Amino acid sequence: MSQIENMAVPTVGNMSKEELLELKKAMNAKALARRRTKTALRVTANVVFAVLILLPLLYAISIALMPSSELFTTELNLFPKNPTFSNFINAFRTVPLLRFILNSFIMAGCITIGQIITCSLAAFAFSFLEFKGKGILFMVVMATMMVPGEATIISNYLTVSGWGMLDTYQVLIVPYLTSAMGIFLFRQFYMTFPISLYESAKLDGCGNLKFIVKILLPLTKSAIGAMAVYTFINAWNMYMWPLLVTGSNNMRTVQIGISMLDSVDSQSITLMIAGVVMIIIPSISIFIIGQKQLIRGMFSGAVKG
Amino acid sequence: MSEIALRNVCKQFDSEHYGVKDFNLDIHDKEFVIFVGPSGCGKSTTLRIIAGLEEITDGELWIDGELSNYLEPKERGMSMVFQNYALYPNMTVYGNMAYALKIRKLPKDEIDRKVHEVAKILEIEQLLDRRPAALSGGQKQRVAIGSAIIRKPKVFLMDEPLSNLDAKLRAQMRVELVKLHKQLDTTIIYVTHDQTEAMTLGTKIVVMKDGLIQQVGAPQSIYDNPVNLFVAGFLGSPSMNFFRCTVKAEENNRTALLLDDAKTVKKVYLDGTRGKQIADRYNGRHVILGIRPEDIYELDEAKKLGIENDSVDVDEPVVNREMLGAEVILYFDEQGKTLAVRLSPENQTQVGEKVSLYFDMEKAHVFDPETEENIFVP
Repeated sequence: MSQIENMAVPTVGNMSKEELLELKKAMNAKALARRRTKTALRVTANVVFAVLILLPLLYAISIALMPSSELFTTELNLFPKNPTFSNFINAFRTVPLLRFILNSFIMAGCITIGQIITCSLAAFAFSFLEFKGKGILFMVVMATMMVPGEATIISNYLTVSGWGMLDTYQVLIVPYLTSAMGIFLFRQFYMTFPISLYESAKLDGCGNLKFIVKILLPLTKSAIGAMAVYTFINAWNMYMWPLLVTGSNNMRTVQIGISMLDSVDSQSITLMIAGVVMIIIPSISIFIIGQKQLIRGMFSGAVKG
Repeated sequence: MSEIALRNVCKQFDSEHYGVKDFNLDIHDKEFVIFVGPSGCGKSTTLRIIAGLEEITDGELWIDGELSNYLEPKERGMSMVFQNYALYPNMTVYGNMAYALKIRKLPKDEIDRKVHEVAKILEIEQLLDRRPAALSGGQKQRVAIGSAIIRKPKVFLMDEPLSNLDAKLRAQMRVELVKLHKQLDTTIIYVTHDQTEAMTLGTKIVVMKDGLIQQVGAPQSIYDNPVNLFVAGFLGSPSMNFFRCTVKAEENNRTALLLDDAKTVKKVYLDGTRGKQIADRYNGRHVILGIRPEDIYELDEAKKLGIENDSVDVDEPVVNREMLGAEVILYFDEQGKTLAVRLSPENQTQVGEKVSLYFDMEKAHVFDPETEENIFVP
C-alpha cells in the first residue's frame, strides 16, 4: 500500500494527489451502487416471471396434495390445508400406472436410441459421401418436416393394422425410428468437420462405420445429448398415436393412462393431477440432466453450420 | 520399392471441366516429386487420384506394375499429410499416431514402441499426452507427419503441408522434410503452389497448368531451361522479365533483338548458333525475350563478364528498391510491365534515378509469341 502511495500519481489539471484519491473513491461508490441496483432489478424480474411461468405446475403439485373436498369449494384454495398423499396412492390403485410408465420408458428409450443411430448414419451419408442426387434427396428428407403428423396418422394406422401389428411395442416404436429434424441436426454438426478428416481415416484403413463410431460420435457428444433429450421428451409426450394403436392395459403409455384416471362417475380431478405430477417427473428430470447438452447442441450446430 | 505410373489419366468434373487432362508421369522409387502450379491447376486432384480419394475418369494408374484405378485407398500402402493436418480431435497425439496401427491390429507393445520411435525422430515425445487443440501449428504438422510415417508406407503424399505455417517455421520444416526423406528412404509426392518449396525440396518437379503437365525435370534443369513462357514466369522470384522484340539479322553473323515500343533505340545481340537459329526462323518477326533478374547487370559487373556491349538504357527511373540484405532488387516500368533486376547490395541506385542495364544474353531465353514455347529448348 505504501509503495503505491509513494508512487508518482500523474495529476490532471491542478488536482492534488488527495483530491484525486477522493474523486476515485466517490466514483467507485457510485458505480458499485449502480451495479447493485441493476442486479437487484434483474433478479426481481426473473423471480416474478419464473413464478408466473411455474404457477400452473406449482398449482398442480398443490392440487395433487389436496383432498378433493378442498378443491370443490367456492373459496380459492391455492395451498392444501390438510396435505395428503392419498391421491398418489389412489392413482396407483385405480390404474396400472407403473406398467404405463414402464411402457412409456421402453417406447421413448427405443425411439431415442433408434433415432440417434439412424439419424447419425443418414447425416454421415449426407455430409461425407458423394452420390448422385444427394442434394435433392436431402431436400426431400427436409420436406417431410413440413408434413404434419396428423395428415399421415390414418394411413399409418391402416398400414400397421393390415400387418397385424396393433397393440405391440413394435407399433409404438417403429414408425418413429427416424426423424428429419435429427438428420438435419447431426448433418449440421458433421459439416463443421473438414472432409480431410474422413479422407485421412480412409487412408488409415478405417471403414465408414468405424469412422462414425470411433471418430464422429465421440466428437458429437453434445449433438447426441441434445437429440436424446429432445427425442425422449417428444416420445414420452406422444398421445394420439399410442391412443390409436394400443388397446390393452399392457401396452398403454402413461399419457393415455392418465386420461383413464378421469372417470365419468366421480369427480377425480385431484386424482388425475396427482397422476400428471408423477408422470412429468421423468421428463423433467431428463431435461434437467440434459439441459446443458440440449442448449449447446441446438445452438452450436446452428452457429457453426 | 514403389514405382508409380500414370498413363493418360483424366479427371472430368462435368462435360466441360477437367481437373486433370491426359496426365502421363513415371514416379520412381525414393524420388521426392513436387507437383507445382497455380491454384486450380489440378495438382491436388492428381495427388488425390494417386491416393485413391478421387476416381479416375479415363486412363490408368499403375502402382508397382499393378493396375490400381479401383484399389481402395487403404490398399494402396500410402499415407497422406493434409494441409489442415486432419488430426482426430478426440484423440491424444499418441492416439492419433497409434490409430492406423490399431486398425491393423498390431500388438500393443509394438504400437507403443513405434509411436515412441517416431515421436523421437520428430521431437514430439513430450506432446504425446496432449490433444490436437492444445498444439501449435508447427506441432500439429509434426504430429500429422508422425501419423503418416508410423505405418512405413510405400509412398508419402503431402498436400501443401506447410502452407498454414509462418515463414520461419516453413523454412525450418523444409530443411527437416529433406532430412526426413533421406532418413526414411521412401518416395514422397508433394503438392505446393510455392515455387521456393518446389525448388528446395524436390528431386523432380512437375509444373502444371490448367490440368496439363507443362514440364517435368530436376529443379535446376527446369529453372535453366523452361520449355515455355508459363514455366519460365512461374519459377523464380522475382519472376523472369519478358520483352516483346523484333528480330533483325545483322552483318558479322550477329542477330539483334530490337525491343518494341522502346522510346530510345534499345537492342541486344544474340551471337553464335543461338543467334543464327533465331535469324533463320524469325528474321523480321516478333519474339519474346526472357531474362531472369539475376542475369541483368550494371556497368561494373558487366565489364567483368565482358557483356558491356549488350546495353539496354532504361527510359524510366527506378520505381521501387527492395533491400533484402544479401541482394538489392530494383524495379522499373518497361513496356508497361514491371522489370525486376537483382543486383549486389553495394549498388546505391535510388528510387527516381535512371540506369543502364546489361543483359547476359548467354542466359537469355527466346519464346515464340504464338506457341509461347522456348525456341532454344527442343
